[in-house]
Amino acid sequence: MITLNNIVIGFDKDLFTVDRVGFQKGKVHVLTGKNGIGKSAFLRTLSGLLKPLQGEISLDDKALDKYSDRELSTHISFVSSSQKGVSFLSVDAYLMLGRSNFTNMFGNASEEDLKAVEKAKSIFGITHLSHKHTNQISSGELQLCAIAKAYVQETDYILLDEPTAHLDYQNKKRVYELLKQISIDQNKGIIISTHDLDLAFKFPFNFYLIKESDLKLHEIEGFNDIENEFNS
Amino acid sequence: MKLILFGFFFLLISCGTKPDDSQIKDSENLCKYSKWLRISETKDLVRIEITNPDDPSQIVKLKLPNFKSNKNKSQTYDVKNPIQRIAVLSSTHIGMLGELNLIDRIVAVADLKYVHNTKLKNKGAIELGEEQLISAEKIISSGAEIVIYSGFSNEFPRQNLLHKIGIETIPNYDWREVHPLGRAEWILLFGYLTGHADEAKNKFNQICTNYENIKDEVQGNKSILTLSGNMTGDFWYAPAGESYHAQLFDDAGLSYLFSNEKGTGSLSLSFEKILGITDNVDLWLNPGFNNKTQILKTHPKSRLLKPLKLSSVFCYSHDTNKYWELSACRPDLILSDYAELKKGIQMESNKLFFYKRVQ
Amino acid sequence: MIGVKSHTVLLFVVFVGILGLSFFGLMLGDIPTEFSDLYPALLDYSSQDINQVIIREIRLPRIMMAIVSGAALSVAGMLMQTLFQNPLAGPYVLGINSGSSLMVALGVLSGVGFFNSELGLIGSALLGAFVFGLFILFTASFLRNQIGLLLFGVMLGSFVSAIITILEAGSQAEALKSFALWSMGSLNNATVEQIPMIFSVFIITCFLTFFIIKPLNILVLGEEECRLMGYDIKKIRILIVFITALFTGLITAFCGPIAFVGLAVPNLTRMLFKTQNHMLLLIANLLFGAFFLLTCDITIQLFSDILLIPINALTSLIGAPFVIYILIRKLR
Repeated sequence: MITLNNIVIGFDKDLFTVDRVGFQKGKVHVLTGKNGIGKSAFLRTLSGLLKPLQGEISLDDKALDKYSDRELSTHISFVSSSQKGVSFLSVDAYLMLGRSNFTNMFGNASEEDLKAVEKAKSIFGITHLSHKHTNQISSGELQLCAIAKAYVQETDYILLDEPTAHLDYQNKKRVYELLKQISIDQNKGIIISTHDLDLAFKFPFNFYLIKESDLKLHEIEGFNDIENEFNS
Repeated sequence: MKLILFGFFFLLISCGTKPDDSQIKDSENLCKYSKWLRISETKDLVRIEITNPDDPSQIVKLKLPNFKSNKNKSQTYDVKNPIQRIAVLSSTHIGMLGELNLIDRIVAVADLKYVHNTKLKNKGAIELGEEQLISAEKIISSGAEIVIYSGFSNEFPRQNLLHKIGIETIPNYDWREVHPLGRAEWILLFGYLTGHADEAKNKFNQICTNYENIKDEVQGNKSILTLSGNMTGDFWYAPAGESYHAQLFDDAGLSYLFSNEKGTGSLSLSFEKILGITDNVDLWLNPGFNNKTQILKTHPKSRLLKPLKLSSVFCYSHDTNKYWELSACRPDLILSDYAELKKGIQMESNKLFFYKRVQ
Repeated sequence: MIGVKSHTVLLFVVFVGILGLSFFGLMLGDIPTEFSDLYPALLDYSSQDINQVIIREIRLPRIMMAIVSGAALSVAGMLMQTLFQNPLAGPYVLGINSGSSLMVALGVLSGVGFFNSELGLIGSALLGAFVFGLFILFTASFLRNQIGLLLFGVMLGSFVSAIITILEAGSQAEALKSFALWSMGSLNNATVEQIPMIFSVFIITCFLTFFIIKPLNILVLGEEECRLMGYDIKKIRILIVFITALFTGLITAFCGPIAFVGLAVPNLTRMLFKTQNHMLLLIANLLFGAFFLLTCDITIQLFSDILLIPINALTSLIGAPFVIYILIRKLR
């Protein structure tokens, strides 16, 4: 479980605070809030890219900053909101980069690695893109690939920043389905930020709201809280 | 009838065209070797013509009175009185004025650090810098009446401005002369401008006599195979067979490796080619360095050259100021150096004027 | 899609090509040499035979330098293009060769005796590359991202150019020509005694490069991705800069600046093999780079009777249109 105690999230200035929250494995946790409030910064802090301005984050009862970068990458994977395609990088090669913690020192794949990538492609429905270069596919397709890449990393926790932004409705639904399934079947803790709240609320996820009024993270039960926040 | 018509025609023609006094005829030209300098002298008038080697239609013409006689007031002269204050931009000019004992007339030079003449070093002069970047103000402040320049580029900067003020700018193409005596002959220019024409003529004749004497003595026996030049970048630059240096080698009776190559400039050859043909070379001249370490630092592969291994390399680089100042006007001294070098083991190094063994 | 098998075949063909061109280059020159001179020149040397001397002392070092320079600069270019995620980056963007240029300029143009007489051209260039390399490494270690490094390299280059221009303005014609010729680049400067040392440094640096292949693969996705995979991006950046400095400094010291190889070849190999796998790219760049520069060198030798072509001119003549082609493709 990832626990936060008296955290101040921010980059070069304070953005919002968290009194106490725990993200367990086996569930999908959804972060909501107005634009610019700090959802991305929050996810980046959990992934180790940023440090909290105050307070301590623990992963499985060990402080996050006590983990080495390498160790952390075996526990937490992060999919940022902007993905860019690279020329001459095939989707297969791209996904294999997600297996970096398993491949040998030159990045060569083993049977297991190949199997893991095949499985991810089939789960996310991107097998037909295998040989395409990542700069030749649509942004929606690239987003699915990015999620698949985080999946093959085989971490306990997957953090995703607006993973459904470029997807059509069908694929948005598909992604939420997959995330729900993965979290249950493989006991992973999944934390996402999203604006697709109508759809997300249809799923049995945990919801959190960063309220503008007090700049704090709150756990919320019903859609009303969301509506109030965005109507004010 | 035809005769009258012909005579009439003749009169018409000779009246119609003014007597062409703008070109010195060959018969009047007292310069024997120079290609670009022409001087004619009569009782009243001295005419000097300097032709631009790159554009023979461009000729600088100067009219001076013959300073020995009384001036003819009806003529307009470019230089009215013997020049007392000169600005010179090349070492060769200093050398020539030095030979005429006229160092005290020099008021400005290009760069004092390249001066060899002790009298001038002690006297000092205003420094004008590179010809192309020269400042007109500095020239004027030096009080120079004329500026002698080398003409590396086409026009001397500020030429018109200086002319308006009355400062004459005169090109000296001694460096373009291929004949060694033609180069030295420019001493006459300095002689005539400063009112020391006779001294200049005597000095030049002396140089010519020296030169011819040495040449007669040594020219016949062409036994010493000679290499010249050095590697710059990827190529070996050596004087071509019709160049100034090649002429000197020939007059000195040195068998120059490239004497058959056409051209008056430089040849560029690969090092491989040089290595392939220099196995029998006795003498290597003008590498441009005064010690072996320098040669090897610039081009380590030079150690494969036989003359370097045998230390039969000679150059003037131990005192480049002296060479650049005096080599142009004293080709007889270069020739005497070469004649001495030809003696091989029997040469006496203290008799060498410009050259020294490169160790 | 080229399969792995055809990758290997292509690389092998290029390798054979390098051997073939080397052989041809050893036999080609102003002085006619025989095939029978080749074996003794290389393995049973007698310094009396002029043909052997020419092969061993003049042609062999030149061929070796062509191979090492082409290979080293191409790999350095590959590293720079991956670090900056920019196909237009070349080995000189960091400004290493500015150090060499500056030291050589000081030696040749300023007339300050120390630089010229004590160190010689190669010594000056090596020292310059070393000092600047240290300086750049130091800067790289505390910069936050690679844009700063790029800007720093560009500024360094401009600054040194300005100083060199001032030196040039006050120089004599001979000195100017000397410096201009150095700047044109030359494969002829290394001696046969120096070749083993040059080759050793080259091999060691190649070896070092093997250790960062995996992070390089991830780096194409950006520095953040690299961090997320557990790599210390600062260390990786410093290592990349260090390796590039070694390659570039070594070559610039012995050959002067050689343009376009480091820019064109890595782009060529990426396009040809359609990959971002740096293991494959590393080997491909080594081979293609060596082959390219060898070809340029042989071309120069073939034309040497008709036209003198400095190496930089040829690499630019071929490289520039190719780079324009890349630009057009990128802009489409």
